[in-house]
Amino acid sequence: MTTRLLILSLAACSGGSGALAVDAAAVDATPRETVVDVKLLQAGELGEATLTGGASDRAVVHLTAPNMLLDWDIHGHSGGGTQTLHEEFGIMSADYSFIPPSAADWFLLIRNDDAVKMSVDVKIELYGAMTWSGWL
Amino acid sequence: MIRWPVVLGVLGVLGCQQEVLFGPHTDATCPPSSPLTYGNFGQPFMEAYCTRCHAQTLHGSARMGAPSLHDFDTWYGIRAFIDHIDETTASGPAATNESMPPYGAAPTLAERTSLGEWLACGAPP
Repeated sequence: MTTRLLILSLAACSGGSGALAVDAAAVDATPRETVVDVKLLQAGELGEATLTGGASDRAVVHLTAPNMLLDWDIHGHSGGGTQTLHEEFGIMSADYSFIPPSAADWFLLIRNDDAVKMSVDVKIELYGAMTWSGWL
Repeated sequence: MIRWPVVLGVLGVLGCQQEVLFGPHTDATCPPSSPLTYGNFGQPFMEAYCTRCHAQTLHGSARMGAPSLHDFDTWYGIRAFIDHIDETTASGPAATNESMPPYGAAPTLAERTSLGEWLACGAPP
């Protein structure tokens, strides 16, 4: 009986900080959800989607275009204005880890800067409570 | 007597606050026979009042604070931001929004009303 109580006590103790450490590692290692999509954009067309999350969440954005004519950004609209958090122009691929500064809706915006239509391969890895709306 | 430290303090606080750009939706509607198109209204409106900042050809400080990719020198660029343009620039039954353009030549009320109508119609090409 004493031995059984001792084992239970040790297990309960290790379930504290130990469990947290395992959870944190799991969040870093494995996305909760992975969105894979192909977005077709006409010449000059934009596509926008919403990422909703806060400072404890993360989205890893992977974009691949057929040429170096893809523009994109992540922006927000808190306080009635527009805040651009990250932007790139004239790229063929992007790999970016986005951690929101605060809990809100954040907008992924992509633009085909080519004179012909373009298919963009989109992969979004969602960590924590981050969610993806799909294209607006 | 003007208390300059107080005045400067108030100005400093106001200067740190972010400007609120978006007003309410105008609730503009699209009449069935609306003649407005991108060619006869949208493009000339944008060129007169918007693309001095909101243009793909402008970068950095030349954009005067216009956010990246928010460019209105193409039809697709406008189509992507119909709601934002309504909430900053257009007029309709529910509101007249005048936060844009922030400087320079500004549209008349009639032009803002036409903008609301064109956007309500889906900004037809």
